[in-house]
Amino acid sequence: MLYLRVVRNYKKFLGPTFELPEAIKHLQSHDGSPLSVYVVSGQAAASRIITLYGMAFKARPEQLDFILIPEEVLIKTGISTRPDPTGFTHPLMAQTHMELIGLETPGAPEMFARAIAGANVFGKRISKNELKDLAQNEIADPALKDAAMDLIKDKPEWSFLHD
Amino acid sequence: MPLLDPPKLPPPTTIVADHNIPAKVNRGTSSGLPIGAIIPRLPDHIDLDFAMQNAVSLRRWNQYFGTVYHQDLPKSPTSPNLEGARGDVALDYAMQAVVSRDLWVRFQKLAARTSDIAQEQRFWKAMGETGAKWLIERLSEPREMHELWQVGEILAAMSEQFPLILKSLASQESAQTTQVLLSIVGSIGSQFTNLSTQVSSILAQYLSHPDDAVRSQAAASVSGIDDHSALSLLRGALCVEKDQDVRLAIEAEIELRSHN
Repeated sequence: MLYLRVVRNYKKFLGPTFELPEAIKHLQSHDGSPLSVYVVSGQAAASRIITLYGMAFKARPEQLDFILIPEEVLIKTGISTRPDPTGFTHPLMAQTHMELIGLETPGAPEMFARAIAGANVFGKRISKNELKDLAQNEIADPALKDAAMDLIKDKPEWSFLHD
Repeated sequence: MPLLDPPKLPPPTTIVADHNIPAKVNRGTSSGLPIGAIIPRLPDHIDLDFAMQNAVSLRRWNQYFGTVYHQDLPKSPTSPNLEGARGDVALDYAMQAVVSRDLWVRFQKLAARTSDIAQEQRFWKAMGETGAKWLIERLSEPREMHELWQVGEILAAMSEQFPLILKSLASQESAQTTQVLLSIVGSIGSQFTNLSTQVSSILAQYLSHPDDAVRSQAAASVSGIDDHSALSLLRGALCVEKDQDVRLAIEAEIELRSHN
């Protein structure tokens, strides 16, 4: 089990290029709101979720950074998950959307950041062109096309998917 | 217009309706419900166009704020004499105070498509430069990425504030803020041919930024300038770029323009 977290720059979380202040900033709970992650089975499932995420939340195709946190890191640091009770995501992603619980206490984001940096965490930047290709694959599935297209309605810069 | 969202919060407090309350809210009170139950969270429930047109007083906004948050509107440090303010002046100030509490809830709703981005854009356009500055300041806070992009989308719709966005970028210290603002430059920069020299200069600055994610974003944002200038910048950057992710981003933009 892996937890996908969308980040600003994945390299700030990985061993050789780890930057603690940036990692902590991105793992802090703000306004008491739990952080958002998506549970995935592997890199293929992660690609699908990051594609849908880009379609849902970006006005146009652009780079997206993410990290995949192994479940062991959560267990080791006492961080737990729960299904998102707010249901803010599109139905296509809702089943995988979770909240991280336990980062509200002082010191917890730093401990979590260090555990991520010390673990076998995968990170990647999906380029604009990759995201476009992945999105085209997504809508090629007739069973998913309508729901996927719903994510980009009223977004002119995704109109290439209508062609 | 989500004027009558389910009244989940906060504890209702009855306010006597008067002529300063926007008409749609008054219609709510005529149903016998306390006003606090009808407009539990102001920014979603106020008819902003009506409020601006009908010069709602700051006193009335203050009363709303007290109902929802159980405190007065914060005093303005720069404009202490707002007591008798009405209309746009009062609205600008009151909305800032209210929105500073609710902004992220609003943007969560935008992300979930349970609120209307056109309405949100109208509101922020009405907030003008003050609103744009305030939004830009929020971009450096620890936030979920999708919330930051929602702020960026709103700012991109405030095209009259593009010079302010460029000014903020020129001296920006936050990598997070920079990435969102560069994305806006890529999205709407090409509309401002009179500012193309300034835009090119800013993109050149960020193509050599220490943070690789910022450099990648700057490469993608050359869509904000003409192809000739973009190719010149990109080829120069590629000569010195070592990071593989950034090189890929630069090469993709060069290839795109080489075919044009």
